Amino acid sequence: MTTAAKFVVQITPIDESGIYKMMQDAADSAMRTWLNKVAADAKNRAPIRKSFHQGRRRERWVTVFEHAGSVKDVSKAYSEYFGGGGDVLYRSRSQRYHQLREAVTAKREGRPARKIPARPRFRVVTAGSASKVQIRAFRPTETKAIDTRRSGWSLAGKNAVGPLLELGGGVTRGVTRGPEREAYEERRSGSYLQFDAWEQLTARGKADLTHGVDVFAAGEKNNTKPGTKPGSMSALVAGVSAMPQLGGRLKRSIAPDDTKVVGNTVTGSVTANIRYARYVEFGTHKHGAAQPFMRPALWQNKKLLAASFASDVRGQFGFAYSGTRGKRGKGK
Amino acid sequence: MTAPTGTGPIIQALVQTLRGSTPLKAAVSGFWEGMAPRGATRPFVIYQVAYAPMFYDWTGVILTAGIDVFVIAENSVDARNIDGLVSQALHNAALNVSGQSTLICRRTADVVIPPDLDGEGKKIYQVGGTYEIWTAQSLASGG
Repeated sequence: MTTAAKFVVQITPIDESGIYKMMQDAADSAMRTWLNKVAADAKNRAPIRKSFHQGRRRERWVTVFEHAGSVKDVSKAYSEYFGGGGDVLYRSRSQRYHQLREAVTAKREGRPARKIPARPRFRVVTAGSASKVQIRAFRPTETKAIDTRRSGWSLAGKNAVGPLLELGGGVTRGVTRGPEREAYEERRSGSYLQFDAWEQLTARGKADLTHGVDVFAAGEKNNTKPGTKPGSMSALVAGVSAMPQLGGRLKRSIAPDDTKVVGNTVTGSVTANIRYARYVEFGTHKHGAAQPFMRPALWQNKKLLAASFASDVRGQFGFAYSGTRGKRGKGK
Repeated sequence: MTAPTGTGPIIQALVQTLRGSTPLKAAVSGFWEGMAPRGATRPFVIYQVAYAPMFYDWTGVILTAGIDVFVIAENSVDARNIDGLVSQALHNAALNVSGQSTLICRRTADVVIPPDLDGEGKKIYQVGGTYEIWTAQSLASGG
């Protein structure tokens, strides 16, 4: 599903000679130039999708994590960083799935169903505002935390936070020091706990995460909040905040289509080739108020089409109109 | 030269006209700009300015406001019926825009958004159209 704005320029045939062809070419050329202008304007107006972040950088990851319950949304978001769509990032089954499976098996075997414990998981929550990001990791015990990393609530979440923690060399709340920490470190070095997320990252993902991790490791140096220690939770938050914006698929999808010249009609269109473009343009009860970007771009540039056409006609007929006018004006 | 008044008075006049239609007022729970507050009872009407370029001449300005008006309902028949009432109320209506004289008010496009599910899994229909309102206002200075 796409959102397209279609424009038509009609020219009146003057005669069957070469002039008509020249007019056609001029109209086609003018339409192309104008469509580029409209597309550029629409791109400027198109908002970054709000469901992934609220327009401020630090909120981006937060919102992504808030969407963790919806596989599709997180997949989409992470495809920016991990490339090739997010489907592969979700291999693990949900707790609900295991509960249902256990219920069916228990019924078949004629025994009471075992209780499937909730999965320990990473969780990022917002408390009132995006600046209060908390990462609650590894519950209920540290040994369970290891399992979390293996089977986690989503590989996507693990992959995103994993490199940050690994490269930054920091620890999160819940991973304690001492023997438990040593055991954790030991197990972490095991093959199944090796993070291969870094290898999966796209170039953009690598650059962004490196920047975020630099901030995380440097702590106070790169963080305006005083008292932030390198590798601490607040530095992690600062690191996450430092990552550039995710999103912009809508902007990138806006492009002019090829023009069509049939007889005395030249048709062109600008398309936002993305599923939710129309929801942004017109708004929905679910996704929020409209943020029109196509129609304002059209109206803003409406007058330019005629000017562009006139200029191209002059070009086709070899009139150096503006130059001549300028020369006439000089010295008088 | 005085500064032109924007879309504010147009929106005001549009809502006034919508509220003035008795069958429409009876059919919906309210009229909201942009989006309805959470928990608003369906069906309701939402409206929003999509574009509003101004075209100046020597003495004044013509404002062309494109306003999307949608009906949100749980039933497609209701949605279309109420959309019809909205159209009846607005199409070719003489809006009473303060400080501006209305030239035309016409429905220029139908906009159909595919039905969607709300949080409870109910199907929600969004049907409406774009209304183009042209107004003229004089910008000549008093002195």
